[in-house]
Amino acid sequence: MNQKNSTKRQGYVGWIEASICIGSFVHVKMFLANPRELCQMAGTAAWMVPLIGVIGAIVIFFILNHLTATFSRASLLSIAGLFWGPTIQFLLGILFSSLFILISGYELRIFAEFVLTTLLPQTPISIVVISMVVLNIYLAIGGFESLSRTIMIIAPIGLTVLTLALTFGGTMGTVYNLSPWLGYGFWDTLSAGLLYTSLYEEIILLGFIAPLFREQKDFRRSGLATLVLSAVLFVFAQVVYEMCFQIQSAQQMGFPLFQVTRLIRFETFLQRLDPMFVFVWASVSSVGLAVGLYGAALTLTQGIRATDFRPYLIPLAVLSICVSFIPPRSLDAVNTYSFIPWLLQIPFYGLPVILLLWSKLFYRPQENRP
Amino acid sequence: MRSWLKWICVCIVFATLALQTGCWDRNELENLAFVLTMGVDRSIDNKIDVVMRIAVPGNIGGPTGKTGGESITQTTKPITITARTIPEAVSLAEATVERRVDFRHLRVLIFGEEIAKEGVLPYLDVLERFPQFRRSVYIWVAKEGPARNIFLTAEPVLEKSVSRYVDDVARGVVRYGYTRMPTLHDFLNEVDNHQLNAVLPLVGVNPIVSSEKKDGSVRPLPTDKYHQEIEGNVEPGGKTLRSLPRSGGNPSEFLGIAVMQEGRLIDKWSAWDARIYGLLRDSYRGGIWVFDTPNGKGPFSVIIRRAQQPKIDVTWEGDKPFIDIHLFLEGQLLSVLALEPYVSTDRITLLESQVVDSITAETSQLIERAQKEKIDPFYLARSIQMRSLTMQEFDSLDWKNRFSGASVTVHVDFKIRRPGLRIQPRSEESR
Repeated sequence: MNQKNSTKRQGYVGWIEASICIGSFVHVKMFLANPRELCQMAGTAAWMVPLIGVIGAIVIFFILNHLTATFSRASLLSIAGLFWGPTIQFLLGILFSSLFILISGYELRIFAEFVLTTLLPQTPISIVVISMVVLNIYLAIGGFESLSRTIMIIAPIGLTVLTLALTFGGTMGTVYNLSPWLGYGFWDTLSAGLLYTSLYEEIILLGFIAPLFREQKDFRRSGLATLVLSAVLFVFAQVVYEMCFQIQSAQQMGFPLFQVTRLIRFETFLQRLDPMFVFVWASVSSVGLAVGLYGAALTLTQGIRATDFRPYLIPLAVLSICVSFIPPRSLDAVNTYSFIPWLLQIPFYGLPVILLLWSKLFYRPQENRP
Repeated sequence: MRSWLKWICVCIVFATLALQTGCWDRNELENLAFVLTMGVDRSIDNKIDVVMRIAVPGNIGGPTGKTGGESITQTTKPITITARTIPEAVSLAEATVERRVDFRHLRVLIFGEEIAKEGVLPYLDVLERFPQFRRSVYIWVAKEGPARNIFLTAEPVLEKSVSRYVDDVARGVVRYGYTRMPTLHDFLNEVDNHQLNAVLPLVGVNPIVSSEKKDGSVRPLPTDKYHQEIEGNVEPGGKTLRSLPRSGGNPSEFLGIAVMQEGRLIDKWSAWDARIYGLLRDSYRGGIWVFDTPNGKGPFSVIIRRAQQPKIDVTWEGDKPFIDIHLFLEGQLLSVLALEPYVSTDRITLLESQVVDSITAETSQLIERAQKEKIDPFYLARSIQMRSLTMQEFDSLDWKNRFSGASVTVHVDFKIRRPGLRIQPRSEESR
């Protein structure tokens, strides 16, 4: 196993830092079109979807945790290499790197469309995309430890502002909008919840950065904290969004959480707070996208058994720019991005499950060790 | 990092600082023309008249307006553009206004009566899409005639700033309850709920005050002429849709509500109806009410406040709903014109009963009227919504039809909590 190689010149990370870092990657979608999509899928019961989804994600995480505990926190790709040889490890590395680039690219495009639609309509989209990617490269080049330091500065401000935004926004809504309580029905809500286990699929990144944890308990804490924090924020945001908008409107709203913040108005005393929130959200999103870029570089590095991920950051960033320009219009970007996560959960959740099954059924440690 | 790479990075940073000093979306205040209020009317040839009141920043003074213009006609200028759509009108306005027209400070959109009857939703689409418009914009409907009349006649008593004027009016509505002031957001949320009818405030132009306005200022009529003008107007102000008997002040008056069906104006309710509507819809917070005393010797006045949210219970007998409504109100005595000693623990209940009877009767009448028209602006289905499990179940309720055949019982719980700063009025004997 060459997990040490892939973590060359990277320090260890604490469980809180890792949680917030991966949590920010998970949450980029919350600032985009996700609350609206949940409303389209589950109607007034959309706020239950992240709750149901997190149960599935926790099961997957425990599989991941068991796997990494068995293999001394080796990365998933190292374990795959151990089982199936370097060719499969190479192919999986390419695959996961591509998937991270796909997610980042689409999120980048929708983020840029958001900026253009709401704040900077005259600015060329390439300027927004390239500026964001340059920032992502700068953040990611220092590795996960550097990313986590950055996010630990931003997170307290970001979480405070987000909580205030949602709390203030919630006061503009009404609880009647949350009813009828089961949306399109119990089974529809349950199936939407299971489908949207994909909300947390970025948690797989923990499997690739496992070597960066000092102890297994840090890994476990980090994963659970990420899932709980993400679920709480998803549910909070969704409840506030639904309270503010009647379900028919909620299903058609562009950039849902931004629209919630635009509603905040306490007489003339407190109003027009949305630019402040946009600034904070842009900061959190930039870190989230940087984590995605880092994930792409790291998986590629682990797949090809290279020693350092840094040389791949810029080429992968260019690729993410290319991906971001694939959709001809923002509508295509949003529509494609709405089903990409459903498909991605197959490889993202499937890999740890297959690896665990393989380790239990076919792997004999004594035979493979000198 | 290698030293040459560092130098390249530093050069790029400085080059960026030097070259990217401007930005594509710069907004210089002196290049913008802020539209503060906007009106939409049906024009000729199936076009619309879009009236925009643009701020003249140089004439807007400090908080009291002492250093600025004397009235909103000096701090703002109205322009009317006839076009097919609002965006087209905006685009054409850009060709006539020397600065870039900007809607980020728009406070109100007024629809003329005719276009409100045709339907306002097509004209609100742009407000939902274009980010310069905020969902906190108020939507008003002209009681009679075009919205342009309101623009041309409005003359606030104190305010020189149109934005503050609109905000003050919206605050006032909460104090007196003679109308309701929903924002675009509130209105659209109500439109999207098919089990209720949205309402908008009615804005009227008082013909007497309007006739008093000459050369930008209002000159009140002599008393004799004023009394001639109001002769025959026997009903108390606000009971009907007629304009208030008054002279001087702002020609615009905010009394009554426009009841909408899928964005179309279908009925106009008076200011008194609007208060009852507010009680049922739970948008009422307070206001001064006047009732006859039990012995009919003269009216008494109370401030009535909402004590807690109304309790609405719907039970079913087959397809017929039975609606039980409990209103919880409390009051403060303001005056007893007959100077009779009602303020004692045993006699104050007489006044309370009078209030309860009166409000119960008015509420029942208004509900009957709504039932006849098969509309429910009161959102009585909210208690059913809270008990529904699925959206299909609630959507298939066909509430408005069922409500029209419902049996409704109204209970009003009212106590005069405080008599004010005096207990019994000065009696006839003591004078």
